[in-house]
Amino acid sequence: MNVLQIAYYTVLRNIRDWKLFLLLIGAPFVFYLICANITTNVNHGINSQKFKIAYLDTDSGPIGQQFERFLQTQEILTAFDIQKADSLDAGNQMVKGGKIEALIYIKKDFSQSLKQGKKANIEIYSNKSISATRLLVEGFINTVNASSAIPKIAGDINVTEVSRGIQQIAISPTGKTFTDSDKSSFIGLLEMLSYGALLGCLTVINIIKKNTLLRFNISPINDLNYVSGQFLGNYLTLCPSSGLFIAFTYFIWGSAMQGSILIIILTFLVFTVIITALGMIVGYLTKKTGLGALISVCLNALLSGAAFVWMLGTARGFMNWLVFFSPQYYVYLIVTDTLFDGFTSRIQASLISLAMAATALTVVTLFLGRRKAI
Amino acid sequence: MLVEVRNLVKRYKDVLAVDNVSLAIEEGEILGLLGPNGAGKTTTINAMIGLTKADSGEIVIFGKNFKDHELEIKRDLGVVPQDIAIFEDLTAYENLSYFGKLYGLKGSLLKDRVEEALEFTGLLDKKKQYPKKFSNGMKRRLNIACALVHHPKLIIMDEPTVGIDPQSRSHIIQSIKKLTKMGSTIIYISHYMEEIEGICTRIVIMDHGRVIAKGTKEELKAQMTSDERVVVELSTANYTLIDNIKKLAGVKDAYVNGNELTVISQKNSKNLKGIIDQVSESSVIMSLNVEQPSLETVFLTLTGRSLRD
Ligand SMILES: Nc1ncnc2c1ncn2[C@@H]1O[C@H](COP(=O)(O)OP(=O)(O)OP(=O)(O)O)[C@@H](O)[C@H]1O
Ligand SMILES: [Mg+2]
Repeated sequence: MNVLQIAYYTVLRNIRDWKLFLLLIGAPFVFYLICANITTNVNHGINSQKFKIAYLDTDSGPIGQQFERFLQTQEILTAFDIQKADSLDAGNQMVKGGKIEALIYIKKDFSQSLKQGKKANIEIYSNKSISATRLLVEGFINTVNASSAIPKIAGDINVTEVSRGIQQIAISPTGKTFTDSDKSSFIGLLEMLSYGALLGCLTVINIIKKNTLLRFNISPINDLNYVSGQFLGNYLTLCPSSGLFIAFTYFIWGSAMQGSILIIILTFLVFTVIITALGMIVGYLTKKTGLGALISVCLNALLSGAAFVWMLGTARGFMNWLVFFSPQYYVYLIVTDTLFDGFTSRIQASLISLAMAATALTVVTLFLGRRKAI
Repeated sequence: MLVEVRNLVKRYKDVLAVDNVSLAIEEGEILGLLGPNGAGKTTTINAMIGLTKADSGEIVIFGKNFKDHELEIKRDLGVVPQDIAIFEDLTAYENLSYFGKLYGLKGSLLKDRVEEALEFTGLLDKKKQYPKKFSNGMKRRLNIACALVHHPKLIIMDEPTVGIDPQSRSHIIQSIKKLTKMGSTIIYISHYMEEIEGICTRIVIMDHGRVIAKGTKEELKAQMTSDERVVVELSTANYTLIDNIKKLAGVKDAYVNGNELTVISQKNSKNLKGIIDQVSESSVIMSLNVEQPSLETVFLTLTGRSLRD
């Protein structure tokens, strides 16, 4: 009798417990389908498509001219497709119609106001993200403030929303990244996947409660074989949902995939080890179905939550600290960096962190799972 | 000696569950372990096979020290635990082949053994069913079958037939006898006196964690100083007999209850002929029953408790 046999029967029993199995495989699957529907495709950013903007200069003073020259510089032209608007109304129509992303409007007497030491505004009309345009304008304001040697003269940017549907556009080295809804659905999926911890937890408790542990205690197999068999069985049971996740990642976000799918597969193989081990450890420690399930769920919510809050950039205090213990956080880093050609060093560091966590948790599981005569 | 347990002690906090128990079992024996609830029977065997950690004591099975040769010994050990231990989500067949595999069986040998164990416990026609849907008695039978797949040299059965109907029980008892003919040695714990009397070659009685008597059932009965009872059924009630009967040698008491005359004499008073003669003079004997001390009375005398109280 070896580990594989025990693993085989463990898988068999896990699958036979079809309600739990459906919950663990089916729930993520439904979630994938929902996500696939709401996930807008990855934003292809400023590189693949230039930002179309227009400007309207009614100032006709020196600073307005300076701005026009600024817009014609090579660096600006690589990122922006710039045209001149005929009037404020015409410009706004273009924004509404989606022909341009934003309209930059320099008011009459802009130069005059600045000369008199008053504050002057450059206005941006947009119904989309204004970050790129804003950067552009800010860049200009800084040069004006520096070059005009008039201290404390600032140009404020006034953003006027033309219509709803403002979206943030993030910027990555290659200009491709997850949109916010991609990020949320990704972490959501990770969380669903992490509920797999329930499986390990419940099988461990079940076998103690149903007295079947005794059969192993009286049989001539050694402890390590027994626990590893169970571990492997639970692991294999959870693999289909990981596989589904990888496929989902590939087909939904894969269009933007720069890095290797192998890294992503490896990540999920390691992540599944962590989930399995976490669940089994909770099972061994609690030995009670209700408590074990509750702790598994809360632990997962906490770890996924930390990754989620971090991703939104709203992590504070405890959460900021907790995120380093969240496997979901590392998976997120690896997958986004792999998909969008991020930092190789960060991929490596995250993978190593995950692998170390997986090793440590596996050792703890095998240790706790040793059958003990009481 | 197939099994030797010496000075086994196991204490649970304030309960001394096993108090210096020693047992010796010869190959081919069926050793009956008797005792009231909480006597320490289960704890004794659990400590013997490593399910419970004994506080002290020495366990030698198959001539090997248990601590040093645990896995080796377990290979030839079959256990029917008191609490049912089967997987409810595996079919009867799968349960047996899983446990068979744990003992290294495989291929056609495994298949044969599984079928054999199913046959043995009368579950062959239920092999594809899930124990979830079994009656309690059927689960018990599967619980027994699980201990037999690997043809163990030593089988320990802890109240294996609780909740099994009389027919199936006698089928199982017959099969257990067959097992010993095939060379198995059995430790049999039961509350059913008839089972113990019927199959056990030797009996150990435990109470309060201690062995209070052991021997063959004849030896145990011989130790008893209990009385003999003769019950005579008469054609009609006859109260005049009593005075004469009380004069017979060894008679301690005699009374009539309806048509029934009961005579209580000292053990081995050999006065049966006298009783018959006396009764025949005035009545017709319909039936006559001499009651030897039973294991039940032995038990009662030793423990002061009935087996199923
Ligand atoms: N896990 C345990 N923790 C504490 N006490 C225990 C434990 N198991 C058994 N005992 C105590 O040890 C004593 C012996 O119990 P044991 O189960 O060995 O009795 P038994 O002879 O098998 O009884 P039964 O005929 O009811 O099965 C009892 O007093 C019981 O309360
Ligand atoms: Mg018991």
